[in-house]
Formats: sequence, structure tokens, C-alpha cells
Amino acid sequence: MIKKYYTLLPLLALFITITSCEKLDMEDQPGTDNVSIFNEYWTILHEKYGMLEAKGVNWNEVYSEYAGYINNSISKDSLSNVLGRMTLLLRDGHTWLVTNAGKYYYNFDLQKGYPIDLNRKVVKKQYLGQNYQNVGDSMAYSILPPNIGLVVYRDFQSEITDEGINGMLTDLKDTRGLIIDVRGNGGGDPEYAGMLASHFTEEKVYTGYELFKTGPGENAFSKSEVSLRPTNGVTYLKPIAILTDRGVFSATTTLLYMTDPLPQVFTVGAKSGGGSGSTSDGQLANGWIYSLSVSEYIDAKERHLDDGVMPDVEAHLNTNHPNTDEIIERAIMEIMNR
Amino acid sequence: MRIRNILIGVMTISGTLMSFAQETNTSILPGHIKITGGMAIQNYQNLKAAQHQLNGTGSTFELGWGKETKRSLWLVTAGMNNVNMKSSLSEYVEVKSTAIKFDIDYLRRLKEENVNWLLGAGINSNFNLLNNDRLQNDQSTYNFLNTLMLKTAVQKNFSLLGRTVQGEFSLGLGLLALGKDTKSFSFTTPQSFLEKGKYDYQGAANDADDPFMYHELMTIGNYRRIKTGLKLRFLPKSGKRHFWDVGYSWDYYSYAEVTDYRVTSGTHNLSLTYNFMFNRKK
Repeated sequence: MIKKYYTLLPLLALFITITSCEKLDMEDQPGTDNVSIFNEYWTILHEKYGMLEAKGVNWNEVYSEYAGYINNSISKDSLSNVLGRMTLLLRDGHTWLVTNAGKYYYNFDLQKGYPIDLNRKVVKKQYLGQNYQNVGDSMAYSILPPNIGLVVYRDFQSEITDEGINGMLTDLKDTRGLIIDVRGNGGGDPEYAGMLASHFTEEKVYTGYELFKTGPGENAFSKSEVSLRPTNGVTYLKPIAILTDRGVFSATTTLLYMTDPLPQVFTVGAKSGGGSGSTSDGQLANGWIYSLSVSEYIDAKERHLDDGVMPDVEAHLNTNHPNTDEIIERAIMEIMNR
Repeated sequence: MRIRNILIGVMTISGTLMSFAQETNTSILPGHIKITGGMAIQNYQNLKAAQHQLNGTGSTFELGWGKETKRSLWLVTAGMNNVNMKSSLSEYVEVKSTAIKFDIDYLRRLKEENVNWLLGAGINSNFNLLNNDRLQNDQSTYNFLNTLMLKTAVQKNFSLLGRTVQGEFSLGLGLLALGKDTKSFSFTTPQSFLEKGKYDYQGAANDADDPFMYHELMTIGNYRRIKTGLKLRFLPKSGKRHFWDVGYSWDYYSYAEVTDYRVTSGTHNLSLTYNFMFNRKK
């Protein structure tokens, strides 16, 4: 009986051997003890975080300082606290950590130490008015009395289209200028920022470059030079004031750097929130979720944008005038004088 | 009429095969189609994303077509695997894996005696989509591997449970591949796209007009690809046009776009296949 199948037996042995070899190409499972999780998180940030040098953070020194707090007898809450403090050292709104199944969330507070420069109720009631039009779910526009278009863009989460922007700019084509209020806009999809900016130029404009982390080495970066390309649709070339505050973050920073080189565009308000890097997220071996910046954007003026930038014209809300938005008023004045 | 046309189209696209069934070692099977269902077991690790391994079980489904002559064999197979993978280290690490695959194989008979030996080549396309609902920017990633493979198979007939059964061992070795992986070392876009410095927010990598623009050519050594299988085919009784086979196959790939950060996957399939010979003379 055996002899009958002798030809197949070596093949069967070969088959069993090779089908068990996928594990040979896999690294061993990491540990989930405190020390292993600390090392895993530190290594991920060391290898992938794109702005250690720009932020002036020596990550090796961070290891030396914080590793001393870690051993396998401390609680998960204590481990979480140490990793959270390391995260906050980077002062980066894109870099955060969620631990203990959502119990703790560590994220840099952008607004801390800065004044509040947005009152949405005042913007809607006193300026946007009743006769506004919507573009998608997050953009609305109307015309202010001195014949200046007011565009309020609350976030970049909802989809907008070129057709929607074309329609809006067609409606606003006879205005004297535009105010684009992106205060409090915490970002979303940066492609919408590029789409909107493309309507404000008729030629390709260099806007800066993004340094991406491409490998674990400290100097493993690639450089993507970015130019704003004009739309095929409706363009608007008259004065444009973009209103900023500390809540301007992430994809809204993309809008700022893409429009900054355009001669008719200027910013009014307060320092922006930054968040210039592209982000990546993942899970540690114990399931804790992290996000980090894997790149840094440097604009056409060689400015590092991640901590935010000052506007061209600084203005703030005055709490003594609760029904007035001094930043919009200042933008109107600037447009009228141009 | 319209519905009939659609059905014909589907059959053409997903035609696949199966394997080569023979009543004897010298007889030739005409064209036949098959439908396969079964269980998939997958092991996966992507060191660019995390060090932990993922494992899980799911389902596999295939449609196939094959044609066999005295000298050669054509096989076409299309299929899909769905597997829910988890980490053994944490209940919070969970990834859904969907693989869509398409194979075209051509084999020539080298020897047709007591044992049949076949040798040939094949093209395999694998689209592997991974989804982790707990993440945001990296929630969905995929890789797309188009592989040129060296193929071989050995067949031998024997009796089992009063039936003539054909045992088959097949082996495919990846020679080179054109691959695209949306997960780079640090970001959800192809590694080559980042390294070439092409990234902006007015047309990301995935929107490129040319579907092969950001594929990378990977060769044996870095790219390791093996497909192998064992099959027991219960050959049709005289006058019958259908038969069954049971099989086990293993599909393995591993590559590293960034040194030391390999992506490795091994999928084990247990399957039961129904075969129908559509132009066999009774």
C-alpha cells in the first residue's frame, strides 16, 4: 500500500514543510508588558515622527528621562500617564494617544494661553444674516452691505465640489472683495483646501514643500515641492481676506499656505493653530491607539507652520462689544482700502 | 435579453478553473467550470504599521474554468477571501481583510505515464484590502500585487472508497511582481510616491490617471511568493458530467519596500469544489 503511493509521500512532506514557513518571515510577537509598550511607543515616534528637529525635542533624552518611570509593576494608568506626558512634549495637535480602551486621551491644547477670537452666533446673526446660501454642508456665503462677499467655512470634513465653488464665485463675481472666515475650522480633508485655493489663481504658484519621513533613519526624509495649480472653473482675483484664529488647524493650514503666495490674499485675525504635518495612526501591541505627524510643511517663505503663524493683519475680538466681530470689521476695512 | 447578456459577461470574466480532471492518465477532459466554497485561515503582519501579528478565519469563494488537451492545460480562476483577523495580544486590535484574486495559468505536459508532470507559467493578480475601524487616517489600506509565476503540478490516480481519485500537488513560485502598497513607511500612500516627492493635496497617489503609475517592480528575493495546493478529485463515473474535489491550498507572499519592514501574509484555504463538464460527450 505504501509502495503504491511512494511518489506522493515526498511531495506531501515538502508541502507540509513549506506551508508552515510563513512565520519565518514574521517578526516575533512584541510584548505587552509596561516596558515593552513604552519601548514600542518611543520607537514609533523616534522612527516616524516628522518634526523632532523642528520642535527642538531630543527624543533620546526623552527616553533617558522617562524610562526611569517605567517598570512592569506600575499600573496601566501610570504607564498611560507617562506615555501621555511624552506625547504632549511634541506640542502637536496631530499627535495624540488614546489609552485604556478610551479612558484617557492625550492631545496638545492649542487654545491654551490664547484669546477666544470667534463667536459663531455673532457671525451668523450679525454678518451672514438670513439670506445666505450653502455650498455643501459646511460652507455658507452671503454679501455684506459694502458689497463684500462673506464665506464661512466651518470645517473641511464635508464634501465640496468644484461645481459648488464655481456657483458661489459666480454669485459673488461682482463683489469688491471676499472675506473667507475659517476661524475655528479644525480641518478635515486637505484636498478641499487645495480645491478652494485653486479658484484664486490663474497660474501655477509655488507654495513650499513637505518633508515626509520615508524610513527609520533620522535623516530619512523626502521633499515634495508643492505648487498650487489653477482650476479650470471660475476664478476670483480681487482682494481676499482670510480670517484666522487659534482654531485654524490642519487642512485649514493647508489653505493658508496654498493661498499665502497669492498677491490678492492676506490674513486677518489671530495666530493660527498650525498642524502642518500629514498624519498617520496605528495601534500598539496592547491596543492603545496613537496618531502622529509624519511630515512637516515649510511654506514658500521658509516658515515652519506647525506651531501656527501670525496673520498679516492682527486683530482680536473685543469683549466690550459682544455684538460686533472686530476681525470681520477689520477685514472689511482692509479690503475697502485696497 | 439584457439580463442574459449580463450573465454571459459575468461568466466570462470570472471563469476559472479548476483543475484538470481525468478519468485515466491519458484521457482528456473537455472544458469545464467549477464553483468552490470553503474556509480561509489567514496570518498577516505588516511591520510598517505594527509589529503584532494578526490571525483569523473566514470564507473563500471561487469560480473557475479550465480546458485540457493532450499537450496542455489552461486554467482561469477568480475568487475572493473574507477574513476577520485579530491580534492574540489585545482584543482591541481587529482588522477585516478582503482579498480579490484572479489567476491565469498555462501548463504543458512533460510526462504522461503513471504520474503526470506538468510545467508552465501563470499570472496572478491579488487585491488585498485591509480595514481597521478603530483608526482614522489609516483605517483602510490595500496592496495590489500582479505576479508572474512559474507553475508546476504532479498528478497521480489511485483508488479510494471504491472510486477513482486523482491526487494532485501543485506549486507556483513568484518570479517577479508589479506591486502597489498604499501603506508606506509612515503614511497611507505608496512608498515610491513619497520617495519621488510627488505628494500634494491636489491629486493624491490613488487618484493617478495611470493605474500602474506608482507600482513597483519587485523580484524574487525581496518578493517571495508561493502558491501551493493539494487536491483530491473524485473523478466522474462513466456517463456523468459532474464531479467533486476537496482541496487545501496555501497562498503566501512577503515583500519589503523599506528594508526590514516586511509585509507578510499566508492564507490557508480548505475547499470543496463542484465541477461541471459542459461539453463532454456522453
